Amino acid sequence: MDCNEVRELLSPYNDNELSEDELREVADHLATCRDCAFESTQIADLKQLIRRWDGVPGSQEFRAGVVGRAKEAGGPSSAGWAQLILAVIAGLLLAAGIVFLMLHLQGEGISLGEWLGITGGEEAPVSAQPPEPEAAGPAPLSAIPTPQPVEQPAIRLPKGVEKRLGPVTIRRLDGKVSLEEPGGVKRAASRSDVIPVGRSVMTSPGARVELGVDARYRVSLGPESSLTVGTGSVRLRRGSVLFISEPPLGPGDEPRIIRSPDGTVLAAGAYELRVAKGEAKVYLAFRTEGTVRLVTLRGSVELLRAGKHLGRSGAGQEMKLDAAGRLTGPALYRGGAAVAPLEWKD
Amino acid sequence: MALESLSNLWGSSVAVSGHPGRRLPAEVTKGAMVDILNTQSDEALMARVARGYHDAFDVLVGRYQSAVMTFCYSFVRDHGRSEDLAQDTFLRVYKSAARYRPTAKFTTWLYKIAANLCINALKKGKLRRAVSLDSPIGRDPDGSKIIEKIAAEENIPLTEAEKNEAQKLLTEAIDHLPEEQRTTIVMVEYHCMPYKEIADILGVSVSAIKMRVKRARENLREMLKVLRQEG
Repeated sequence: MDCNEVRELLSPYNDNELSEDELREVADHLATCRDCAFESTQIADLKQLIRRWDGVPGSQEFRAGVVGRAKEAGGPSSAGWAQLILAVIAGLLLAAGIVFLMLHLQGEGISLGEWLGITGGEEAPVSAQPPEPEAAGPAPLSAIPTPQPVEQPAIRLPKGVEKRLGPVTIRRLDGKVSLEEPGGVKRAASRSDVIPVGRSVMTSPGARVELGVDARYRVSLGPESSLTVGTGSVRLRRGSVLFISEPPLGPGDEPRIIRSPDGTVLAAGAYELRVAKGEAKVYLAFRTEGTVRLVTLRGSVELLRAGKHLGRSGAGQEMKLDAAGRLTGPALYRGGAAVAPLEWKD
Repeated sequence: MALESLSNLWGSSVAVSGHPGRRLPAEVTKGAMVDILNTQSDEALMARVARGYHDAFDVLVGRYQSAVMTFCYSFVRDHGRSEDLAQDTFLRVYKSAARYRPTAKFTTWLYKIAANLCINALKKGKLRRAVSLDSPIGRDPDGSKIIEKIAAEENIPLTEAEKNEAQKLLTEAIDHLPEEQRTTIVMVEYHCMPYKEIADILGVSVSAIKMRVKRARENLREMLKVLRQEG
């Protein structure tokens, strides 16, 4: 692929919309072409920026108004007009057929019972039990179809503020969770609460919540904070660094603190946290005590500084850059769906 | 509270929230019911709406009100109009609940209804364009600094006023995009929809969506570049 072909694909590349083959080809190109890598970084930055847009907030008034109008409108229609008209026509045809048949049989001197094969002296057999009347009103709540199981990670969130970036319902499993309303007013979250876009969630240390699939949060980790995944898996993004906790945990598994490959907990800072749905195998890059350690789970990682090749890590391999060669400027980190400069601050 | 334990409590004494004809035990409070409904999938809630329960409809509206209003806003660029269209969308959903079959994702169906209403409203010329494509953006001299701040990777604290200004600038930039690009980029970035779903909702091909996203980003970059230069 040349630069023109790659640039056509950079937008879907950053949206994770490429096929495996295209993804590999684009990633290979970006590892060697600084201009295209820069272009891709620009798109990633723009995505980050536009995703901060809050959209149009909902309100209690709107919600109450819509539900009020639905109540005024009566119950949901059970059938469309077309179905209703067809049913009426069918009914009329049936009635006309029965009248015609009865008139015809009368002319022949045969009763309807005889024509149906029911002898005159005998009563038609009747069921001992009256037919079950149709249940009046709606079915009980227990009859609601059980929702399909979804990977819904239960996460022990650190104390801090998690700003919701997309539609989500959270379920508080334990600990205290409070929601910050507009104007900074805080209220305790119920066991299950829908958090409007852009609102903040405050958690006490060790609070455990279940995040909805496709949830996106901004999570602030303090120096002593950690994130624990109880079930499912999550994706974390800090700047351009992606990390997916893997493998997904099942309901019976022991909760696991997300750690960097060398065993330390995640570095303090702001992360975008997303619930991962069956996605995995991205890369992790963390700086620890002057040593950069990269571990790839799939594919390879290349580090560049000022265009100079510093090293490359293959799948499953670990790459170390010791203090003597440590990175002080932006480096290019290539992985999965992200190519962006990493700012290493000393 | 688990569904099983709730069904054990099934008896009679208080009217079920949202439906006058049904009775529930006193222990099942309105709050507990809301808690349970909030954990239900969209499809399960729709099944309940079809049976005449307003509480399930209320939860669905709460769940998607902001998303649907934002979706409609991306078509009409007017808060009042987007509220009206979102309201019509939800009422259409309510009316059609009995005919709804969960063969496709609920949200795809929901946004298809919203898209049809928005497109029809635009076609009928009921909606005047609120923003001229030629009108300048970023007149605020502080706008560029705020954009730089929110564009920064790390969380730079913004004051309440700066947050509001940042939102205003982002809205303005999105408003200036041509309609097709605007609706598509909002679905990609705000609603986090895959291209295929967007194509289904808008009734166009995936390659058309790819092109719209690419062009929307090019235009947004230009607009934000202008804004940064002005600063």
